[in-house]
Amino acid sequence: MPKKTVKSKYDTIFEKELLPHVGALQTFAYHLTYNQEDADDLVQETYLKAYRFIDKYDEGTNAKAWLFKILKNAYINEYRKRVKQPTKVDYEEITAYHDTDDDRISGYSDLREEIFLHMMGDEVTSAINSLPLDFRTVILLCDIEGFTYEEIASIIDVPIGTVRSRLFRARNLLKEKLTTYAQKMGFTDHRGKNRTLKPGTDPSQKDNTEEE
Amino acid sequence: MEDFNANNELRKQVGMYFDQALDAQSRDEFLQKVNSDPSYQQAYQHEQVIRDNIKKHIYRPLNSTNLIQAIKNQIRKP
Repeated sequence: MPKKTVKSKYDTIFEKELLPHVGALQTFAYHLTYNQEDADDLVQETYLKAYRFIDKYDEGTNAKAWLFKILKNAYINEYRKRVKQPTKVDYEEITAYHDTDDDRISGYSDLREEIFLHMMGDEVTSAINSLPLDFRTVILLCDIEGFTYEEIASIIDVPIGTVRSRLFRARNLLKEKLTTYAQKMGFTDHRGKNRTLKPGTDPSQKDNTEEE
Repeated sequence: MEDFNANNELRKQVGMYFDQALDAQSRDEFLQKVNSDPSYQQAYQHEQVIRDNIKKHIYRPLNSTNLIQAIKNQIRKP
């Protein structure tokens, strides 16, 4: 195929299959780097790499997963070396600590709809951003972007079993953080406790605090 | 111990259901349990609230137009 035609074909693929994912990549990059400017740089770098290696991409396949893999590798290999990051939390240490707490956290967290109604939005973002990188990554890829376990395994280069266990622990840790926010806002966990009605309360009235 | 294992299994099933990681048969069996078992129903609703609200409340950068233009400019450079 003439050189010009090949370039035109790649430009079309780039425009139609790769560029539509820029918003999702921006969200992922933002939650890795913690700021907008660095996130935009990372996304730009990702697209430049994708364009450089576009001949390795099979037209009509999973462009989104391919781009996320490039971004994640760019972040790990280059971006974090260039930008000084806070001290990395040891993954195994966190895992060992939270293994012991898994049951307590998910068994008793009481995150009701009304609690989220009182959140401004920052609480969820802060809770996710405070997770260790490995946990944050799987939550973003699975719960926010809807990738399958297989796709996540391919993006972050780990076995599917590791994806599952990281997700399980990450969610418990995230629920614990959101529960802490809820407690700070004055919500208390009423599950498992005997209902005590305040004087003058009509017992036939629905008590929201007892739901869930 | 039995309760602990059952609770663990329930949490895993709920997680896999929302991750769309159950096959068709397991998904049907799970939904039947949700309809008939209050503990499954409670766990299902609880997880749904959390997942919906995390998606709804997470910060997403808005304007991609400038970034898209910057990317296009970069790749058009000779």
